[in-house]
Amino acid sequence: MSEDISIPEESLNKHETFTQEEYMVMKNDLLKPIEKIGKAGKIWIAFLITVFLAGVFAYYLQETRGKYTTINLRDYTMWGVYISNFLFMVAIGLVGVLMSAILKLTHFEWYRPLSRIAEVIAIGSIMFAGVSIIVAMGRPDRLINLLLHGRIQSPIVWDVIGISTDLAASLILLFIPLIPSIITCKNNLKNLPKWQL
Amino acid sequence: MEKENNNSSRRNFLRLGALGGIALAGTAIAKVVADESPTTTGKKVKVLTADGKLIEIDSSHVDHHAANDDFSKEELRQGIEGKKFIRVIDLGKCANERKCITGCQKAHNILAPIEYIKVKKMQDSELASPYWFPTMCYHCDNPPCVKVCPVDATFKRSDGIVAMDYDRCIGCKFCMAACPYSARTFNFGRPEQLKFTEAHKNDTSDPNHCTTPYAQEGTVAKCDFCTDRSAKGLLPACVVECPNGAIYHGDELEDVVSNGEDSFRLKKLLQDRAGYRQFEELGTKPRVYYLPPVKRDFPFEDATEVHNTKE
Repeated sequence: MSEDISIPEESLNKHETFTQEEYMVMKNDLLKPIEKIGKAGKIWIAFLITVFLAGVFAYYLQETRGKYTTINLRDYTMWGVYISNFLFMVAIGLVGVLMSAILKLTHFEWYRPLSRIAEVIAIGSIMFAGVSIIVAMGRPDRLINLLLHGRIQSPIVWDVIGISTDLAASLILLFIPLIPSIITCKNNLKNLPKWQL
Repeated sequence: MEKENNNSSRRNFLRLGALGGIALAGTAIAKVVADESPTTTGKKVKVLTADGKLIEIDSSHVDHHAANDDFSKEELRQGIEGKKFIRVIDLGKCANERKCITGCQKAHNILAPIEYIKVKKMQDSELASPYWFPTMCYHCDNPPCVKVCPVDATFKRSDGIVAMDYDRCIGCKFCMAACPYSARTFNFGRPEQLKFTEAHKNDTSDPNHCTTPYAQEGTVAKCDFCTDRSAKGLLPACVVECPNGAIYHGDELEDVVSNGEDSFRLKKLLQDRAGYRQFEELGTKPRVYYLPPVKRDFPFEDATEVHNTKE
């Protein structure tokens, strides 16, 4: 915290005093990809949607034809792949929170754009972690039993509590740095279709 | 005047309070009295009256009898009164004939490769001769699997059995990770298994018909000490099927174990033959004891190992 004291008063408010040109550049950077998506972007989005649908279909196969269909996951060791995926994704999510927390505490002003990236990654990976737990479960249709018969002594119940808390915190931490951008979008985007407003 | 009014109102209040208190106590007593009479379970039981008539009454009106064919969820959770099941396995008698495994699979309506009993080759040191080591759920008195279950689907019963509620299990496999003995198996829902279970679900003509619920697809299953057979006073399927009488099953409170032919006094047997439990240092307190293979009935034959290398 010694760095804290050495920072002069003016530098703390530096981010609020940018020039008009700087603001125009920033505004352009922010609004351009929202207003118009290029051809490469559209292909990329289509590719990602295809991957997502393939995953949904694979899960559908696993649940309807029995867990036996996951050919290379039929023994206990390989079924751990789902759980190791979960741990990997949870760790990435925590790194997102750690990044924004450290940058905030150390008063680095260039942290703002970085913290948004970190939080978006964190939210994505935490949601994926929750999904991989459900995928690894034998009976996802009985998920409600966790609420009906939940035992607080069990680590699985703490998984549920921990992940949902993490997700909620990450959503808040993403929303706060996004406020100025949302206002800018609201003020400057006029020709959007109705559902985006 | 005002003061008097105040007093009377206070008196009224006190009187009201006393009346209320009596009323509350009355309802409480009524509740206790009501609790003494059994609540109806909705399950009908056929009984023979003194004058020779067969009538159907609610199961709450009769004392629980172990020979009742199907169990309600509550009965499965409570366990059999006055019993503490225990098992002793004589390693010197095991020849890996796999009769206990097939008998167990028949009794629980499961097919290979799911095995509740796994026979492993054990060799204590290089110079020592190997022997067969049957493993199963040890029904620990301090069970790690019960502690981690998030939905209370596996539980310790009063008669020492660690049982499973297959209708509640969410298949998180955490109990499998917790069990130091790898006693639990996961039902992957193999198509042939599902077909077999469907076909034998209501087939009561089979003497080995299992009256306890089946392991369902996507749940964790394990040895249950043949809960249904134990309730009827029968020995578990593996004990009956073993041709060499290697497995002794019995009651700790009665201090007796039996393999169907011979019965032994449990404490004396364990003392005389140096009975031990697996991984004693973990503090799980298993209910299955092993007798060291000092006096072997059979030479070790590696050929039978082929059975175990298959999935």
